[in-house]
Amino acid sequence: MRDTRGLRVVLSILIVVTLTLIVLDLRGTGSGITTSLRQVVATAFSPVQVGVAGVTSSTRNWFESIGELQGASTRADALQVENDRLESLVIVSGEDRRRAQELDELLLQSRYLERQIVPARVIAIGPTQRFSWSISLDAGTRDGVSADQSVVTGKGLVGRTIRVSPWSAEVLLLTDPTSSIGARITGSGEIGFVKGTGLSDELEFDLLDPFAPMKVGDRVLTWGSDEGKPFLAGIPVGEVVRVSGTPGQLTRRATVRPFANLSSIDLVGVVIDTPRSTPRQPL
Amino acid sequence: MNWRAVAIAAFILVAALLQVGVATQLGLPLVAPDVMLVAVIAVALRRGGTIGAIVGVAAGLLSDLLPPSASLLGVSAIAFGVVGGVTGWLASRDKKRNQFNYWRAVGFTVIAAIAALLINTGVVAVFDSERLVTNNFVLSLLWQGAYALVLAAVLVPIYAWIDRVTAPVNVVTRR
Repeated sequence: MRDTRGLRVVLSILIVVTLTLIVLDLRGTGSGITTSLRQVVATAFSPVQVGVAGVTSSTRNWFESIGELQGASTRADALQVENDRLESLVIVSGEDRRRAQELDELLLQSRYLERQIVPARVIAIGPTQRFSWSISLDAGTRDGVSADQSVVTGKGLVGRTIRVSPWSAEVLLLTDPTSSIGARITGSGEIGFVKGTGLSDELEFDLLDPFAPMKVGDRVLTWGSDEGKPFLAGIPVGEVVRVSGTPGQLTRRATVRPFANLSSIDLVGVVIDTPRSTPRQPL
Repeated sequence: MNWRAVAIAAFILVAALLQVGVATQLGLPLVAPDVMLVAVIAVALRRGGTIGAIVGVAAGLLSDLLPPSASLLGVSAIAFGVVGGVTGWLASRDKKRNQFNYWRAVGFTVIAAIAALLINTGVVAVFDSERLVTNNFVLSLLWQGAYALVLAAVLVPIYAWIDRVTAPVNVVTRR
């Protein structure tokens, strides 16, 4: 065992240091050393990530068209492939159209919410092996984004910003297990909490009133937080796809499928605060 | 200048960029290929346990710090460090007995990748249990192993080549 002594010493020291960091991070509030470390890394890496994200999407398109070229054994196949290739070209140009459409939807969302929305692209997605569901955006404090703001697509809520550096922001997705959003059923107005499950198409919805009616197809909106932080009121969250638990149990639980397609998000909007300047008209 | 250390740092940095910029954006089910982890193991297999552990902890910290991340700082550092140390030690033991080969290296990587996810889960369970979800956990472990297999087949020879190229000229390369 003599040859492993150095290794054991090094490994124990490293583990102790790391455990210290974990505890520091666990206890850290706001401006701890770990927060500043994250800030530095985010500022340094975000320009590179923007570049890598661009290369990734064009490479993905290229691979997709290569995939379609294979299997061309006969002439008919070859023509089919040629046709597919042209179609994929249309799709690539359609990619721009899709972005334009997403932008349009965001614009509608911004009118509906009566707030300003900063458009942003997803530049990195966090690995779920670390048990965190998060993404990076290419907009930061310089664009008016700050922590605890709602992030939406044209379809619905995506999550909230948790850390912001000058040119990038990190977003905690609503699928993250620690994400909990106050939500209400449209129509009945019954309130509850939507929690993440780690799955991209399933959220948990717990109704506060166990006797309240709830059925498949009910739509869920955010009920909003104090001063719109982190969530504004009335952002569409998702649709009830399954109700479990019978009326009369302590809580009623439903599975909600988010409106925003979280496994393929590209263009999102950060709802930035524009405080009310005109007083409300009395009725 | 120690070119080997520079090469290791560059290798890990490139892996980090591939990790968040490419691997996680492929839209693969359950888990994304863990490029950084396999890079650490590739270094450890070649350079032994002590360097494996140090590189593992450093890469793990970077992985936790790299945006986007909502997990605690140090969670992957422990997993990467332990896995780097142990695989490095096992590899150098096998090299002494002349039992080390490419297939063994790939096998070590797969087992180490699965072990790292288990350690990671354990640490999250202790410090950050709210975040722990175990949907499809066994399936995630299998995918983690499968991706590691593919990545190892590529990254292990690449690092072995880098290590040979950057070896000091006047010193006989250690096997």
